[in-house]
Amino acid sequence: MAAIIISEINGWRANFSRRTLLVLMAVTAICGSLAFLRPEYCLVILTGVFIWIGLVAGKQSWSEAKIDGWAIEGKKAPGLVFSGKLTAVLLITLIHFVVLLPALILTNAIWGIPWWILGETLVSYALTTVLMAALGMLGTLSFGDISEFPRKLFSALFLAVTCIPGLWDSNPVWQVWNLVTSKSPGGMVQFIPNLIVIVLLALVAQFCFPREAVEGG
Amino acid sequence: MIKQYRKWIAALMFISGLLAFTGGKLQAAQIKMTTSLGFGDFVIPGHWVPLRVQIKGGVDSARVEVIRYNEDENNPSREIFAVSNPAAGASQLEIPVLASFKVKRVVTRLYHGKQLLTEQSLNLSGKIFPGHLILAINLPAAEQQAIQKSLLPDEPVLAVPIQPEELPGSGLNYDGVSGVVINNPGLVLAPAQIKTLRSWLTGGGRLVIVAASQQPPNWVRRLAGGNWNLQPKGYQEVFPVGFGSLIIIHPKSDAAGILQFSGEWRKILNLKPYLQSLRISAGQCFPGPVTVKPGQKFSLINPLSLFFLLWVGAAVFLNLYQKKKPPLNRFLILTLFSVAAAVPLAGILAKLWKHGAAWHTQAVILPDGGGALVCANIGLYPSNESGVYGSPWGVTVTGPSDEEGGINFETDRESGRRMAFWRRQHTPSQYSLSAGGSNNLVLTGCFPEFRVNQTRSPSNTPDTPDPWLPQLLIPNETVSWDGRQWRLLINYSLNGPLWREISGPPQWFQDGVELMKRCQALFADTLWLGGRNRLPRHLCLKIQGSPIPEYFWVMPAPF
Repeated sequence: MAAIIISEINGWRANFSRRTLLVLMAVTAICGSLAFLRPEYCLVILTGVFIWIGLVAGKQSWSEAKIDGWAIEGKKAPGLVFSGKLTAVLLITLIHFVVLLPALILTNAIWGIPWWILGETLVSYALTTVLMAALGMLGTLSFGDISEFPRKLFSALFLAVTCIPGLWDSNPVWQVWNLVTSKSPGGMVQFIPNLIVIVLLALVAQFCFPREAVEGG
Repeated sequence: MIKQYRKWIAALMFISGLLAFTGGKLQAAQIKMTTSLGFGDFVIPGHWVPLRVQIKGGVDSARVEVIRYNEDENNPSREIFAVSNPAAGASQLEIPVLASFKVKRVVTRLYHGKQLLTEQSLNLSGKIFPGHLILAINLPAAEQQAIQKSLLPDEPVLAVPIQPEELPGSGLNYDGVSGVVINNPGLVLAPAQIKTLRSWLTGGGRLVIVAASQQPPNWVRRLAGGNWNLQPKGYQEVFPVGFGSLIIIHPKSDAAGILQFSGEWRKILNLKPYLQSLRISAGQCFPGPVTVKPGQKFSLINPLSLFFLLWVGAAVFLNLYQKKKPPLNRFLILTLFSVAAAVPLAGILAKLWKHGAAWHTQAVILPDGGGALVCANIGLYPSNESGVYGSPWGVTVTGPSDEEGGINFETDRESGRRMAFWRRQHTPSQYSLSAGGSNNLVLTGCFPEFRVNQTRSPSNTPDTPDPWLPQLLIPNETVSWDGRQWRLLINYSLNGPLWREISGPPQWFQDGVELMKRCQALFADTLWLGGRNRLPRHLCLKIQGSPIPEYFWVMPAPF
C-alpha cells in the first residue's frame, strides 16, 4: 500500500502539483483581495477548488498507474489499491492545506473566525476531496475507462443536491457555508456519514473489479 | 460480470453521494415552556420589565431566544442565551426586557441545537399601564385598594400582589417599579434581591416595610445603613438611601386602620402624578439608541491585495524559474516565508480594523454606592459601506464577571428582515439587549455594586468616605453642572475639589451632555458631575482585540 501512496504522490508532484497549488493560491488571492478574505465567501469558493482536485484525482489524471494496472500487473487487491489511492489523495489535500496556511492565519485574525470553524472546514474539504475522488475512481472502475464519468456523476449529484431543498444538507458547498456561518462547534460526529460512505465505497471497489480480467491477464 | 451490476453500482454511488454529508437529526424531546411578561401581566411603557420563562425538563441543554417586534415589524432585536441542564428540573429565568413604546410583541423561542422545540408570543397591547406600579407582598386587599386609589381622581395606581420570590433579582427589572410594600417582617430575601433592592432605592425608589415586631430582619438594617436606629421613633421611620427612602411602619393597634386610607399611602409612597415622578432609572436615563459614528475607517484592500500579489507572484516566479523540476519544495519554503509574514500582518490589520465595530458607552453612577446604570451603543459597520465590512461573526464582547457574548446580524425567519442579536454565553448576564437597529445595537446593564480598581497606589488617595472618588475625578477631565453653570475640575485633594467656571460643556464631553441634562432634570437641586474614561473595569464591556472605548459618566456630587 505504501508503494501505491508514494507512487500517487510522486505522480501528483511531477504532473499536477504546480497546477493544483497555483490554482488554489490564485483563487485564494483573488477572493482574498476582492472579498477581503470574508470567510463565508472565500472558504465556500475554495470548496470548488477542492471538488475539482477530487475530480482530477478521481480521473486518476496524475497517476503513474491506474487501479486496474495495479490490480492486474501488480497483483494487488482492488480494494487495497483503491484505499491506497484515497490515502494519497488525503495526503495531497493536506499539502494544499499547508500552502493555504498564511491565508487561514489572516482570516482568523481579521475576521475573528474561531480556529475550530477553520478546522472543521478543512476536515470538510478533505472529506469532499476524498469522496469525489472515490466516486470518480469507482465510476471509472465500474464503467471502464470513461474519462467523462466523474464529471457526469458530479454534475448529476450537484444538480440533485442543489435543486432539491431537502437535500441541501448533502451539498458540500452548502455544508461549508453552514460550517462557516455556524456559531457553535458541530463536532467531528457530523463527518461520520462521509467517512462511512468512503469506507463503503472502498468495500464496493473490492468486489466490483472485473476479476475475469485479472484471471485472464 | 461487472457489466450485469453496473446500473446497481451506479445507483448505490448516487445514493451514497446524497447521503454523504447528511448528519443525524436530533429528535424533539418532551419539554414545556411557560412565559409571562411584567408584573401581574402589566408592563410600564418605556421601562424594563421582567420576562419570566419557566422550562420544564426534556433536554440537557437548550437555547432561549427572545425577539422583540416593533409595531411596524422593523428592526426586530434578538437576545440569545444558553439554558443549562433544564432536564434536571424546572429552570426559571428572569430576563429584563425593555418595553419601549414601539414594541408590539415579544416572542420567546426554545431551541435544542438548531431544532425549534417550542415558541410563545406575548402581545403587549392591552397590557400597558402608563402609571405608578407598586409591588405588594402579603398586603391585605383593603390596603392594596387604598394604594390603587391614592392618586384618584387624577390617575390610577397599580398595586400588584407578588410572592417574595418574584422580587426582581436583576436591577433592570425594578425600572418601572415606583414602590415596594412588604408586609412580612420576617421575610428572607436572596443576596441578589437585597443588592438590587438597595440599588433601586438609591436611584429614588421607596420601600415600605410594615413591621408588626420591633426587630426587622438584618437585611432591612443593612438597607438603612448607618441611619439605623435601635429604638424606633414613633409610628413611621424614614431612612434616606441615596435619592430614595426606606420607610418602616410600626402599626399600633390604635393606628392599624390608618393604612386603609388612600391619602396616607400617597404620603408614605411619596406618590405624585406619574409624569412628575422622580427616579433614576435606565428607561428614563437612556431613552433610545445614540447614533454611533464609525471611528477611523480602514480599508483592507491595499495591504491584503499587496500580500496576495506577492504571495502568488512569488509562487509563479519560483515555478517559472525552473520548469522541469518538481516545485513542491519551493511551495513549502514559500509557505514558511508567507506564514512568517502573515502573522505580524494579521496582528496589525486586526488591531486597526476592530472587526468593524464602534461604540459609545454612557453610565450613571448612583449615589451612596448604589452601583451604576450603564448603556453601551454598539454600531456595526454595514457590509456595503465603502472599505469597511462587518464580520460575519460580529463582535465578540467580553464583560464583567468573565461573561462573554457576541453581537451580530441575522435575517429574521419570520419578518425576513436583517436584525441585530446579542448572544450571551452566561445566564444571567449583567447586560441585556434594549434595542437593535439595522446597524446598531444597544446593551444596558444595571450593576448593584460599585468597586474601585486596585491598580492605583493608595498613597495617592485622599482620605474620603468614597475611596473610588479620586480615581473618577480626574482634573481637566471632569465637569460639574448645577443646571446653570458648567465648571471644569482643576484639582481634587484632601481639601475638596477646585473648579474653574467655563462657558459651556467642553468638546470632549459633548456626547455626555444629553445624559447629564436628563439626570439634572430629574433632580434639579443636585450638583451633577460628569467625566469620561474612568469607570471601574467591573462595569465595562470590551470588544475583544480592540482598545477600551470611550465612556461618559455622570453622577450626583457626593460633596
